[in-house]
Amino acid sequence: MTFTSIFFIVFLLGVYLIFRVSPQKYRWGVLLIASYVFYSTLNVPYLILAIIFITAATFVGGIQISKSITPQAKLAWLWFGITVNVGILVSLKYIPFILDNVSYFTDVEYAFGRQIVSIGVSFYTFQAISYLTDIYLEIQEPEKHLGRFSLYLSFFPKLLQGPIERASALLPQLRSDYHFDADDLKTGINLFLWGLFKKVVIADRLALAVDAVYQNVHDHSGISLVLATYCYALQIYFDFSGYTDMALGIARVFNIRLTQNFNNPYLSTSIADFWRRWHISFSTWILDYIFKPLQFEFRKWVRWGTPLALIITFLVSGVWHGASWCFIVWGGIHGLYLAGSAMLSKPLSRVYKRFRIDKSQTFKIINTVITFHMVCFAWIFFRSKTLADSVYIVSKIMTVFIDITVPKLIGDSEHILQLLGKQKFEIVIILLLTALTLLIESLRHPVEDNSRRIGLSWLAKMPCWMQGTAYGLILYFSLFYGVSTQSFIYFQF
Amino acid sequence: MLNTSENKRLIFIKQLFKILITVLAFAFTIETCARFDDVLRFDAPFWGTYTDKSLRTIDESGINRNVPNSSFEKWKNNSLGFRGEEVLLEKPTGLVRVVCMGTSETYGLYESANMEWPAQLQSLLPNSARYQVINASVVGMPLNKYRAYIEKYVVKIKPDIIILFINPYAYVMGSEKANKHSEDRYKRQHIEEKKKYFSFRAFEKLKLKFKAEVKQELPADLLKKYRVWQYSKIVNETEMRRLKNKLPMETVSQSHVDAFGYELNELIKYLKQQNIQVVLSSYPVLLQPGTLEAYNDIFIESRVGLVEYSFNGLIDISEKINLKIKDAAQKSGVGYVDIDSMVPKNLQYFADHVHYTDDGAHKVALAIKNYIVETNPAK
Repeated sequence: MTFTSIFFIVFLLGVYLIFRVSPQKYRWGVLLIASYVFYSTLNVPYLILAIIFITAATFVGGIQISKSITPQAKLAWLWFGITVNVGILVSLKYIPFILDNVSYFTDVEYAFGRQIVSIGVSFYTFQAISYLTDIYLEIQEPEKHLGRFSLYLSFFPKLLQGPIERASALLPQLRSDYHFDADDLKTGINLFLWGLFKKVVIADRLALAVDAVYQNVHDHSGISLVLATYCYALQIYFDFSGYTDMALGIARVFNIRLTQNFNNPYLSTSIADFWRRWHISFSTWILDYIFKPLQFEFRKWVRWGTPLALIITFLVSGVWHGASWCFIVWGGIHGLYLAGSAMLSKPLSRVYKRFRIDKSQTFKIINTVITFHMVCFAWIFFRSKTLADSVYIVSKIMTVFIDITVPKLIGDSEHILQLLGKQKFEIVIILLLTALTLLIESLRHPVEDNSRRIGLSWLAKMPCWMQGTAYGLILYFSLFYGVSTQSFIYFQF
Repeated sequence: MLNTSENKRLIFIKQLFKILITVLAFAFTIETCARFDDVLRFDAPFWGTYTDKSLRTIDESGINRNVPNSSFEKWKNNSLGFRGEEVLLEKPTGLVRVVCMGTSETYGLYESANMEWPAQLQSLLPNSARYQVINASVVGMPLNKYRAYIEKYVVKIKPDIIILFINPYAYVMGSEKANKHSEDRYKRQHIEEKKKYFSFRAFEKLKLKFKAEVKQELPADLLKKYRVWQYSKIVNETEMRRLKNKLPMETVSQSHVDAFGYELNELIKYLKQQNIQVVLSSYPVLLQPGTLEAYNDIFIESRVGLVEYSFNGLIDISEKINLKIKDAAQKSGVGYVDIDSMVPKNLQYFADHVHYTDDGAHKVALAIKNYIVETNPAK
């Protein structure tokens, strides 16, 4: 059951009604049962066992860390919790990858583990690890209520794709009483609809072109590959941010505010800026729990410490995204980008100041364009089926300018556009909607004030007839111009 | 000055008014979108009703035919009332005209646009400029109406070959009932006319979308059980009304089959007189003794229009009529293609008991194309 299915809407309505009629003290129970029911609809029984086991181990670990008197005992309980979490994550997610690589070197085929799926595991294990670490660092009190703690890990809007919530942000909200707030309900519905629109109308439509090209990269020209990569950059943004909006909207209906994951990432002026705007809950997690400890560890190597920590952190980020060399290379590229900028930032800023371009708008736009293309380059590795495909695409794109002609450019562009829709008017509408959505997204409130980040907040300020019109348009396009067969990209992580 | 309760009432009325305006704007927007969508997608009229009923009519002589220049969604009739591209009355020299005659399975129902078997036959035929395939089928037309229809509408385009794809159920049902049954099928599948003067197109689209989503999301077993329950109820009610405690027939009467044979022979004679080469085809159906259990939901649905016959009765109709078609072909020396034996009996090829999927239509088109290429009946 995905957020875009009609059954999820029915499920959500049911949960909301039961939640509203339940006594205050049992409402956490309604949400917990709903979360487990939601997870069980994936029809993978061992995932339920995995989340129960992780919940139990992390809950016990947290209390024991807090109770232990000696630092050694605290550390031992922390490692116990981390080992259980990482152990389950590795067993569910990386066994096929490990066996593939063992097979490559030993020429022995392993059938075991091929069918294992790990939907959501990476998200809640990271949440569990941060919870344990925060207790160890004494910045978080352990949760004494097993039910609420279980809900913290399994709350269904964020269970499958995050955001990765910190205990300090989510647990207090789960403890506080629910009070009906019409604004929250309206905002929640707005966010959900906006996310649905971004997912089914824009992302899934773009996926038609991207999939057609990336499934058989050798059948396509360099121009097609470039255009498909741009389409993928937009697809992954609308797909993941669409999901996040829907998750935030659902949580909001229950008076719970989840962390916003995106802040116009393609308007970033540097890769470091990109990571402050893309998958924010994840990037802050790896910054706090991987990069900072590593940076502290490498502090003796003054010049190389930070770049090395960045490369390792982003290699881990690649591994977290998936058990494949493509993801590792993608992480490595971002690590190199950031390491490079960390090493060059001082001399470059001196140059910028010297020529007084550091505050120029044109310079910012150039930086935005360059950053976008650097991100797109990395997306090639992220999207490709194999490393060989990525290398082929890169080599093909590198030679695209050698024999480029206007007719060829028009022909290949038409080919990509035709993949987006059956009729011309459909393609025109999709392109217009994509441009309009990008514009609306870029006008959204900045991330600093999370409470103001409401998907269609601009809508609430309009007269009621305009609101009705906007809802009608969003719903019509979502239902009849949407492609609802694609699952969310970040499900696989 | 208003007191507090009056003030509250005013605020409440104001809120209610706002909600009403929002709902009206919402409804107006989705209806406008639905209508614009139809205009852009299908070249449909913006105003008025838009239904499949505009596709078919009965002419002044009581002959069923397609309305010239009409269209509904993927279905388009040309100026002569045939499905597909425009056809010139004057036949260019050297062109072989292949006219396909049949009912809804030939006109096309579940297939994607231009994937009905006559359209696929056109693209499959080698040297396609030499052949012109014309889909002259009419939904629900029984055999006894073919001659009058061909005489009035088909002969004038000078066909070289006529492929007769005769629906045995349409014959057994009789023309009036067959028409009604076909209409019902279309109604179940597509947007139906709700009111004479106004139809809320967006609502109908939403209803279809909802049904499709439910169909996609529900487990296949559950959906099948629901269909069996739904159609069993309709069949039982219809049986009560029409059969009045009599049991449905297990076999088709021999007189019916003989009458079919007679009508067919007369039609062949007439076509031969017109110097038209005739190719007969057996009629493929999903319903077989071996497939009854696997597709019981489809079979119960197929009984909705023919409650007078049991499952065995339906099987008997198709078997005996197919034998009669083969017999007529042998006796009159016209072409014969046993398509029934060439289309596998499963849901890759059949969308219901008698209609095809794109793959099924391809199988039919391929079989006829092979026959035409091998025997060259127009030589």
